[in-house]
Amino acid sequence: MIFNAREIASGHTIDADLCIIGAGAVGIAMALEFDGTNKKVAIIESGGFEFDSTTQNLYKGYNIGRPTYPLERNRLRYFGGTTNHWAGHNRPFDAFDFSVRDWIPHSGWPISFEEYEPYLMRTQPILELGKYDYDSAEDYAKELGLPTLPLDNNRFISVLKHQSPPTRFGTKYRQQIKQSKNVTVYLYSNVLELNSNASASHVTSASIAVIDGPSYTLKAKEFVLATGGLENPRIMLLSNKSAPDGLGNSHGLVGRFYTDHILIRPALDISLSRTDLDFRFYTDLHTINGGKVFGIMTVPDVLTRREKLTRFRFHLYNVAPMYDRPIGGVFSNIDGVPETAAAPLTKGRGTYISVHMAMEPIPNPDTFARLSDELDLLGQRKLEVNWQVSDRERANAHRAIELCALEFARMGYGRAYAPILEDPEKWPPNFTSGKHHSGTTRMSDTPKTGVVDRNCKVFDVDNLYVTGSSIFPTISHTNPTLNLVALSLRLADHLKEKML
Amino acid sequence: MNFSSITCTRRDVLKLVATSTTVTLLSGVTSGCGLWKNDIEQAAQRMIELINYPDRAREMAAIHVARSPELQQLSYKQWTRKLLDVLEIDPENITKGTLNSLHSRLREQIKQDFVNENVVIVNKWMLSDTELKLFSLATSYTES
Repeated sequence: MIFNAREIASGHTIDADLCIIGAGAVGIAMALEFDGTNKKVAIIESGGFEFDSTTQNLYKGYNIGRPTYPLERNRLRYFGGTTNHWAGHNRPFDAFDFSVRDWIPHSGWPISFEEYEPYLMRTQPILELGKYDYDSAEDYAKELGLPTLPLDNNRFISVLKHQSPPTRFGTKYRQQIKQSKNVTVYLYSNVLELNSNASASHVTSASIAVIDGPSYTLKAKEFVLATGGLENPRIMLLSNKSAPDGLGNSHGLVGRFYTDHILIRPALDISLSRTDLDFRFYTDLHTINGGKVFGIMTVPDVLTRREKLTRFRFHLYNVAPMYDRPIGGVFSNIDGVPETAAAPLTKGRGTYISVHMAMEPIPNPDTFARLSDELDLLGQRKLEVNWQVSDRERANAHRAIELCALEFARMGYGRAYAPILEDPEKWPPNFTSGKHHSGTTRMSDTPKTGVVDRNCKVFDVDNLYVTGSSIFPTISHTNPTLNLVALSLRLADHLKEKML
Repeated sequence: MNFSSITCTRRDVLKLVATSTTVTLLSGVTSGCGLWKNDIEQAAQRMIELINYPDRAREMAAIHVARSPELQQLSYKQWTRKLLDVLEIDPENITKGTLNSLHSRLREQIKQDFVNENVVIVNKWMLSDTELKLFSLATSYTES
């Protein structure tokens, strides 16, 4: 069922078994896991079915750290959430991501990849992806009749990314939710705070307001926050009647460790020494095994470990390069290129390939999302976000780009141009964040090092769960959607076991 | 491919060779474009042949050399010796076989530079140390 909360009488109380706050990918995927059960599920959604700037502006806040995108720009506050503008790229975290890496402070998940992977498999069809296989790049390329890069696999490997159509959750799953007898979405409903018992150990209800409309209360046995990497901590911090510092924040970690991917686009451009190269496996989308895929370059665990790096990936694009004057043709003979394939000294298509990088950041407790003193339309304190990048991360980016430049030259493909190679002490101008807000309610084994436990339950609160990218302790180099939906399915299983 | 300035030099030499009565006397000693040249010059010429678009290569070398005053004074013979040294070739014992293998040895050495990270950054471009030496040789050879 889908309900317009503007029609609710002010002061009304709704009862549910499970209250999921947020109807984005995570909220909808979780709710559908309960479809057809005997549990009454309420999904609280701030927006309607379309973008509305008044509602969207409730996301407004302040970047007080390194300049990045305005907070209201890179996520969407209406039914379907940020999947309404999601690009659709997918690749899972892997076993290495879950491990403790002694050279990366605060790394390591309390769960293993083995207990996580089954949920990745279950997520594939939800995101309209093909066969669950992300590592057989060589086999896929062979089947497609396309070459892969002749990489030195001690340094680089080709792997796969899967492309979702992309699935717009608000469109794709609207009908199923509408027809559900036990799952109800309440549109135009903004959670102001979660109310708890005196010891802040049990959430009793959510206070909800409609813009220019009624206020009402939703009581439930279990509560799940599924509002993204910034709103999840915001709601917890706003819920401060019983716990002055916010729910689940006895160790001051809610909002801490705020992180995002580090993108350099392009990281480097290759001026090709030959014109007979075929990069289509990497630059184009390919339909195979029931889905769409493309190749990317990443590094093997052994190199990451040996060089004590964070993880990173490279995408290849046929976009115009940064350099003004190509040099690739100078090296045709040096690179042993057949005369017919020697590159001219011009900047035409086929004489360059552009390489974009996404890099895993290092968890940092000094970066944060916290409440400011400014209020939004509903009288709620806005967020202020402090995103920072460190010298070590810059050195990591430099090394990653250096390795990539070396590899293209070693393959005899051309020479690399990258501003950071010339000036390793300076971030290149085309460096930005990935718009993947993460880490603010991180998962951990203990409340001293995290906000939620291995089951996504907030420490010290017996019926409050958080899911989405905010629970990631580390975020690898890869896009979050597949991973956060998989974690939400895992949470759904946990709650079903508890509730059914 | 473009060997403009290099092929011109070779053509001149070959023209001279074709009209010379000394050809028969020298033909058993060396081969290729450098019949009239000493071993170092022959090696230099042979190595420079590897470069396409030598003008652009010289530009890169000029930027590199400008940053290191000690390199600015090097003659083409010194650059050639440096390169031969990199290739572990004795400049006093250059044979026909050595000359014929120069291209493949340079190619392999340059590839190894990228494996061993023996590289130099010039104007945001990553180049191998050996190929920059080669470009520097091309620059100094033209000037000699």
